[in-house]
Amino acid sequence: MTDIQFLLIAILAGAGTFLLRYLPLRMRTKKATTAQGRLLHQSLAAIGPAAIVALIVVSLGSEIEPDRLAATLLPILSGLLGVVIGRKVGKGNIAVATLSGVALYAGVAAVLLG
Amino acid sequence: MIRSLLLGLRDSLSIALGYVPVAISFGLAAIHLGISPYMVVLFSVLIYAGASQFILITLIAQQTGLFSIVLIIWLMNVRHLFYGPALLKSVGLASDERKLPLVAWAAGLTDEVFATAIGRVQHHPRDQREGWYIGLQLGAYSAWVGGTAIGAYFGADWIGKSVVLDQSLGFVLPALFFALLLDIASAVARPVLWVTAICTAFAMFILPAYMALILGMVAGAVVAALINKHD
Repeated sequence: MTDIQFLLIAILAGAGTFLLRYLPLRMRTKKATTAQGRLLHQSLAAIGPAAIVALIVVSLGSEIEPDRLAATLLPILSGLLGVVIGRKVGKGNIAVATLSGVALYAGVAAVLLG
Repeated sequence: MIRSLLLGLRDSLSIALGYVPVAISFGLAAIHLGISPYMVVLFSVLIYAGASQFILITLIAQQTGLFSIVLIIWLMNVRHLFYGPALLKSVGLASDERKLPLVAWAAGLTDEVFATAIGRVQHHPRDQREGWYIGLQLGAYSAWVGGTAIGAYFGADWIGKSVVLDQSLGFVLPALFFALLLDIASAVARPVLWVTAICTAFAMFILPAYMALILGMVAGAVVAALINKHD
């Protein structure tokens, strides 16, 4: 592929991705007054937490290797425990919780990898 | 506005921590395929959608047609359709309270920015939410583009030298998502979370990850609607 073709891909893919983010924001401006509208709004409120759970499952799912179950699962479980501990120690600070989780994950992974 | 923007930038650090290594990996992988470093950075500047950019370079490597690549990228990002309305609902600002056009709200609405905004925005006073969200987007975007540039121009010298480091960097984003989930889990009915997790996990066996993500989210929203209908 030439640079012109790469540029065309970047522009088209970027424009499409932007519109997928932008158009629903514009359509959201109407207030829901009907029962169906309220139901839609309640569903939208659940989309956020549902997305977070789905992102966790997808991102962890790609980390786990069935052939190396212990070597991949143990660091993950330790890392999640690290997040819980970091959240308590950091009084809810997201960065502290994330870093603690990664640190514990790295520690256990280092031990298992020898 | 400046103070809230700085708070948003500060809160974007946890996203940046996850983005930079992934973006460096993207930059590296793309230049290994022979794409010019400036074009690799341009992909991140214009597309700004992590997972689909990895698919993009895979498709380029497989010599897929230009329009097929674009179509697949769009399909992968269809899940973003759900984010805008849910974000505005969570932010809770009326249209006359927002000073910036919706274009500014949409430009950096990635998975991680959305998840962080949903989890954290209500911790801020109403008049600071817009500035905070813009700061959050700016920080995340800079980390993604900056990380791509590092990978494309300098990464080859030091990446891949530590197996533990490589493996641990892959855990940053799951750790961030889990921390965010702990923040908001109490506000959501448990069946919504469980059904989402189970549906996503099962869907991953038969569908690509981005489709499993959409299916899980829709399942969670349906359960939420059913619970609310019965209440």
